Amino acid sequence: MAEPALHRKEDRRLLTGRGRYLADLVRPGTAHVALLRSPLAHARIRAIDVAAAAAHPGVLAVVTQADLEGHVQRLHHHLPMLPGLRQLHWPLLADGKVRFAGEPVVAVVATSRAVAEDAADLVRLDLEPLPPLTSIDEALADGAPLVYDDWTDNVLLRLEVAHGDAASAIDGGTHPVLRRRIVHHRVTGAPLEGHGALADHDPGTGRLTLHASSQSPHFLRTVVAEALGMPESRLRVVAPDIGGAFGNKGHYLREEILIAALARRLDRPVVWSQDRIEGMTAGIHSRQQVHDIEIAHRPDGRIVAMRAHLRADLGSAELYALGMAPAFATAGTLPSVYDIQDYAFVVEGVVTNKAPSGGYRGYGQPQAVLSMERIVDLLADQLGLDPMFVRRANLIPDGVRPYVTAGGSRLDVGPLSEQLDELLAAGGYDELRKRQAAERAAGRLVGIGVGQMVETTAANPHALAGQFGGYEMATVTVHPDGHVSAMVGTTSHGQGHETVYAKLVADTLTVSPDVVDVREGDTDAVAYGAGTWGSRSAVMGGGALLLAAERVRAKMIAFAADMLHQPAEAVTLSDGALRAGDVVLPLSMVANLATLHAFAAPSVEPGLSASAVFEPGNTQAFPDEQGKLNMAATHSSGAGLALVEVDAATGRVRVREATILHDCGRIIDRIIVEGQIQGGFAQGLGAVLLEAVEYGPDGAPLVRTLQDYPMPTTREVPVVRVLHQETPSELPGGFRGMGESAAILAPAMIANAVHDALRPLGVPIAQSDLRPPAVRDLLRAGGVGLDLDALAQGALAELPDGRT
Amino acid sequence: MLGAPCRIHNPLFNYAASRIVGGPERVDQRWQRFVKPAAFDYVAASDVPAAVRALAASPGARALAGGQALLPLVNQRAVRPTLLVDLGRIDGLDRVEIRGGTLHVGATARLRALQAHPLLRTHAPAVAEAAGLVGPVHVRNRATLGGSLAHADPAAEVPAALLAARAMVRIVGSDGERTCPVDELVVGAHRTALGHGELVVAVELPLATDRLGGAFREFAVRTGDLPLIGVASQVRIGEDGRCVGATAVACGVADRPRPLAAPQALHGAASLSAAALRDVAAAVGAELDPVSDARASADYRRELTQVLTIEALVGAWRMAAGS
Amino acid sequence: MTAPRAVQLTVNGRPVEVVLEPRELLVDTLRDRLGLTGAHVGCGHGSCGACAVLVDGVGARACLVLTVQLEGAQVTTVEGVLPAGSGPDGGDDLHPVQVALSRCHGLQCGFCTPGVVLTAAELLAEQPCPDERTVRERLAGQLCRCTGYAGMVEAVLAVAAETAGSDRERAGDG
Repeated sequence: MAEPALHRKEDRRLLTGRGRYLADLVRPGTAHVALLRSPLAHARIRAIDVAAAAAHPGVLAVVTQADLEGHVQRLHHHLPMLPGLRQLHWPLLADGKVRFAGEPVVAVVATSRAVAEDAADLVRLDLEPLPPLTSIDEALADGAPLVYDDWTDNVLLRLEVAHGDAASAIDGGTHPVLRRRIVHHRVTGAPLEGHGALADHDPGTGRLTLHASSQSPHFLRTVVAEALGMPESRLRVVAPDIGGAFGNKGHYLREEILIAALARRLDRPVVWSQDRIEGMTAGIHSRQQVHDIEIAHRPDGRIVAMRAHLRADLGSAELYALGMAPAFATAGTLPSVYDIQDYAFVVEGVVTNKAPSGGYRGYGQPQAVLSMERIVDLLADQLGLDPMFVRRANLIPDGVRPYVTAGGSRLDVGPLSEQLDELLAAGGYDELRKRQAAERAAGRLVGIGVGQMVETTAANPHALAGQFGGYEMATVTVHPDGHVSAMVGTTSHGQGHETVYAKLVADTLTVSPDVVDVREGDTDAVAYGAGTWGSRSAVMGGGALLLAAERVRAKMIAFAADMLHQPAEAVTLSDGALRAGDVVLPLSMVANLATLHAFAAPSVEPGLSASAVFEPGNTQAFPDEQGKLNMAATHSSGAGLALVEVDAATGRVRVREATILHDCGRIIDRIIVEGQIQGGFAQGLGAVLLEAVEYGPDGAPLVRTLQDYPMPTTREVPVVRVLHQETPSELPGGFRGMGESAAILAPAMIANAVHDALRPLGVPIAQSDLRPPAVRDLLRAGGVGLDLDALAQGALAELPDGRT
Repeated sequence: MLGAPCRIHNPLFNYAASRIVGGPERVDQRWQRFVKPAAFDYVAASDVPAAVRALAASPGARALAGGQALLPLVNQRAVRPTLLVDLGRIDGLDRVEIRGGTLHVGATARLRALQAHPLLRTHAPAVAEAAGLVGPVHVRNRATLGGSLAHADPAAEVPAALLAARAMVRIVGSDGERTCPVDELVVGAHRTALGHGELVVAVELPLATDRLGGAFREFAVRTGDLPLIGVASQVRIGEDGRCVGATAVACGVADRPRPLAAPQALHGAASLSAAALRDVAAAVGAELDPVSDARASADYRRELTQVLTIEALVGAWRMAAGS
Repeated sequence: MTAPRAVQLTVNGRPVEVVLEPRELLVDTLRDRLGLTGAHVGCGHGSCGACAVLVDGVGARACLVLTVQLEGAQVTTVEGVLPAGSGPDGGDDLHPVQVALSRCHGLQCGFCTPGVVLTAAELLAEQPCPDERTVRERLAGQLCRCTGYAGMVEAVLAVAAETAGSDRERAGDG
C-alpha cells in the first residue's frame, strides 16, 4: 500500500478551505441572532424597552425572558444531592437582575447579523446599578452585597473533606509547618473559532436539528430537550467541524438552548455565531483560584500531611455543567505525584459579578500541579535542600499499583521515579545545570524547572454533572461495497479522530484506513455518547470502536464459516480476506453477500453491523462514605523540564528549551500525540507568561479583543522535545488518555524554572501570573531595582538577542 | 506639561472624540461592542480637494486611509462614521520624494513600503524602523503613515517616531493648507487638532545633515503588538565627531508622544559612555510622571522607558557613528 | 447613500459583480455571497489572521477591508491558491505548502489553516528559501491555538528545503 501523501484524512478539506464549521453552515434565509448584553456588572432590571428594536426593518423577533417563561424550563446543576450546594435555577435571559457585564438580556432575531445589531442598538435597558463584586475578598467581606438576594452569603458551595488525619500533624506542634498562599489568575481557553449554534425546526414532524460547536452533542441534547420540554427522540444535535474547543465548549450554554427555542418559535433556521468580544467578555473564563496550603514536614523534607483551603472565583455560577467542577478536581488532585495520605481540604466556590468560570484544558489540574510544585520548591528553599532531592523524597513510590491516593484515585501509572530519571537524562539536566552556572556567572538569570504530573483521563463525569456517564458507544458497519462506517459518540476539534479511529478499526478488520469513514458528533449516528473532553477519546472512543469492530469481525468469520460449512475456528481474517484452508474470500465479497445475498449463509443473521458500549467499570459515580472516589478509567503521567531566561529589567520570561517525557500508554499515532503536546505546551506557556483576563473595579471587562489577550504566536513558543513512554493501561487497546498533559504540566514547569532563575535574588514564585509586569513587580518588591550601570554597559556591548 | 494622567489602556473603553476629521460624531458610551459596522455612506475621493469637500460637507465624515486602525473600531461600532471618504484612490498621495529641501512622505504611503524605503532610512531612520514594527505584516501592507499619525494612539510607534524626527505635518482643509509640528497636531489620546474638513496629506521630514542615526526600541508582551512603551531616538554627530543633537520620544507613557529632555545632556559628547547613558536613564526616570492603569503601573512604565531609552540611544548613536 | 451599490472585482481569477452596502466587509462578501468559506472570522478586528486573503497579490485581513474599496481589485482566497481542477485527474491539486502542512502535522482543527496556507504561500513566492527566523516572523500574525506552531514552521521550512534541493539539482545539471 503506497504511503499516503497526507497525514490525516481530515487534512485535505481543512487545507483547502472546505472545512464546515458552524458559521459555514448558514444558508440564505437563515435568521441571525444578536444578543444585547448587560453593560453593568450588577444591577436590577427596571425596564426593557424593545419597541423601537422590534419595529426595525428586517427584524423577525425581539425576545426577553418574559417571552420565554412557560416555554423554556430554567436550568440547574442537577446536583440536588450535594449537601450544601445552593440550588440555582437560572433563566436563559436575565430576569430581574443582571449579575455580570455581558449577561444576555435581549435576543434580537433578524435577516442578518448587521441588521440584528442595528436593532439591538435601539433597545433601551433601564438598569439600577448595584455595587459590583469583582474579587473573592470583596465577595466574602463582612456586609458584602449579595449576588443572590435569597442567599446568606456569596458562597455557592463550601465542601470540607478530610482524608487520614492531617489536623494532628499540622496543629499538633510536633512537626514544622510551612504555610503559603498560591494565587492563580483568570484566563480563558479562547479557541480560535467561537461558540455557535444553528437550529432548524420542522413544524410538520416536530423534529428539531441543532448544530452546535459543542464537545458533547448527546449531553447537549439531553439538556436542550429538558429545557424545551421536548422528546429527545425528536431532537438531533450535530457537531460540525469544530475550530478548537479545549473544554471551553464543554458546557451547555444559555445561548445554545436559546437558539433551539427560537427556531421552534419561528419555524425558520436561526443561527448565533459568538463573536470574539462576546467570547472574551461573556464566554467562559477559567482557573481563578486562591490556595492557602499548609504542610507538616520533617526536617529531611518529607511531607507528612497537607491541608488546603481552596477558593474558586466562579464569576457567575449560572453554568451547566457546574463551573465549580474544576475546583473539585483541583482539590482532589492537589497532592499530585507526591505520597501524601493525610490530606484535608476545604473548597469554596465564591460567586462574583464576572463571567462564568468553567473548564479549560486540564480542568483544575494545572492549578493543582502548579501549587504543589511551588510548595515543594518553597519547602526545599526553606530547608536549604536541593528541590530535586525533596521531590524524590516525596514521590509516589514505584512498585505498588494501583497506588490509591488520599482521595481514592487509583493510579495505575508506570513508575514515576524512573520516569523522572529518564526525563532528566534525556533532557540533559546535569549539562543544563553546568550551563546555568556559566550563564549566572555572566549575569544572566537562567532557570531550570522540572515538573511531573499524573493525570485523570477518561473520567466518569457523574459526580460533577449530577448525570451522564463516562461510557462510550460505537457502531461499526461494513457496507456491501466493502467500505466501513465507524460511528462513535465522541467529537473532534483537531485531535485527528477521523484518522486515528480509522486506523484502529482498519487494523481490526484488516482493511485499509482509506475505506473506513468515521462519523462522530451526531446524536443520530450513535445512541448515546459522552463526547470529547478530559482526554477520553482514545481510551473510550477507541475502546468502544475496538469492541464493535471485534464483533463485526466475529460476524464476518461466522458468515464465512457458515458459507463454507466450516467451524468458525477454521476461519481466519487477515490481510483483507477470510481464509479457511485453501479458500480465500475477499472481505468485500463477504460484505456484499452478507448484506445483499444473505441466503448464502442461512444459519447466521444477515448484515455486518455491530454496536458496542464500552464501560470500563472501574470508576464511581459518587464518592463513598469516606469521601473517596476514583473518577478516572485510567491515568496518564508525564514529566517535563524547561529552561528559561528572565530579563530582570523588564520582567520578561523567555522559554528557551523544553523537554517533555510523556506516557499515554499505547500510542496510535505518534505525530498526533506530539502535536497535542506541542499545542498543550503553548497553551500552558500562554497561561502563565502572556494571558490574563482582568476586570476593572466597576466590573467592566478590560479584556475584550485579542489585542487585550495576547496568546502565543510563532515567536513565543519553542519547539518542545517530546519523548514517549508506553506503559499500557489495562483497558482495551492499552490506551491512556491523551491531550491535556502538556497544558497541565507547562505552567508548573515554567513557574518552577522562573523560581529557579530568581533564586539567587531571593524572589520566590507563588503565583501563576508571570507576565512581564508581574515578574517585574515581584523583583521590585524583592528589592531588585534597575541596574542602570549594567544596562548601559550591556547596551554598549553586544545587544542580547530579541531584547525588543 | 508632564504627562497628564489618563487611561491609555484599552482606548475603546474611554474612546473619546477621536478625529481624523473634526466635527461632532456620535460616540458609543456603552462598553458593549458589536461585530458588524453600523451603516455608513462611502465615497472614493478622486483627489485631495474632492476629499476635503466631502469631509467638510458631512459632520460625521471620516477619512479612510489603510483602515487598519479605523476599521476595527468601526466594526465594533465604537466609532460610527456616517460617511467614509476613501483616500486610497488619490494618485500620488502616497509619494515619497525629496521636494523643496525636505523629505516629503505622502499620507497614504503604506508602512510596509516605508520600512524599507531608502529615502526614509537615510533621512528618518527611526521612522522607518517604527513603521516596520507595526505588526503583523498583513496589517503593515495596508496601514498608512498618515492614518497612524491621525489615529493618535498614545502607544503607537509612528507618531512618536515622527516627533523624534522633527516632522512637520501638512494639512489641507477648506480654508487652504497649513503646516504644524507633530506635537501641535497630536493633542491627546486619539485626539488631534484637525478641524472639521481638514485632512493630513503629508509629513515633511528634514533631510539628514551631519551624520544621522535613528532607532526605535519598544517593549510589548508579544513581539509585534502595540507596545506598552516605545522610544524613538535620533542622534546627529557633527564633522568633529561630537554629538550635535540627541532626541528621544516615548510612546505609551502619557496620553500622547512624550519628548524626553534627558538626552540633551549628550550634546557635545565625543563618544557615548556607559556613565553618560546611565545618567540619561536616571534623568529620564526623574522627569517622567507615567500613567498607571490595569496594563502597567507607573513604576513599570518608568522602568521600561529608562531601559528603552538606553537601547534606542545606543542604536541611534551607533548608526550615526557608523554612517 | 448607504444604499447598496455595485462593485466589480476578480476573485480567484473569476470576474464577479456584487451589489452591497458600503459597510459590508470583504470577509463577509467572500463567505456569504460567494460561498468561499475558507476565510474564517476568528476575531473581526484584525488580530488573528484567520481571514487572510491576497488583495492584488498582497496579504491582507479580509475583516479589515470593505468590499466597496475593491473596485477592479484581484482577490485570492485559499480556494484559489491553485487553479481549480489543476490536479492529476482533473480534481484539485494541492500547493506544496498544503502537502507539507499535512505531513508535518502543522494543522489540527484547521480553523487557522487557510490563513496560514495563504501567508506561507505568499512568503515562499517572495522568498523561496527563508530561514526559520523569517518564517516565524511572517507567520507571527497567524494565531493558532492548537498546534504550538512547531509543525507549521517545519512545513514551510520543508518546502524551502525542497526548493533549495531542486535548485541545487538544476544547477548541477546545467
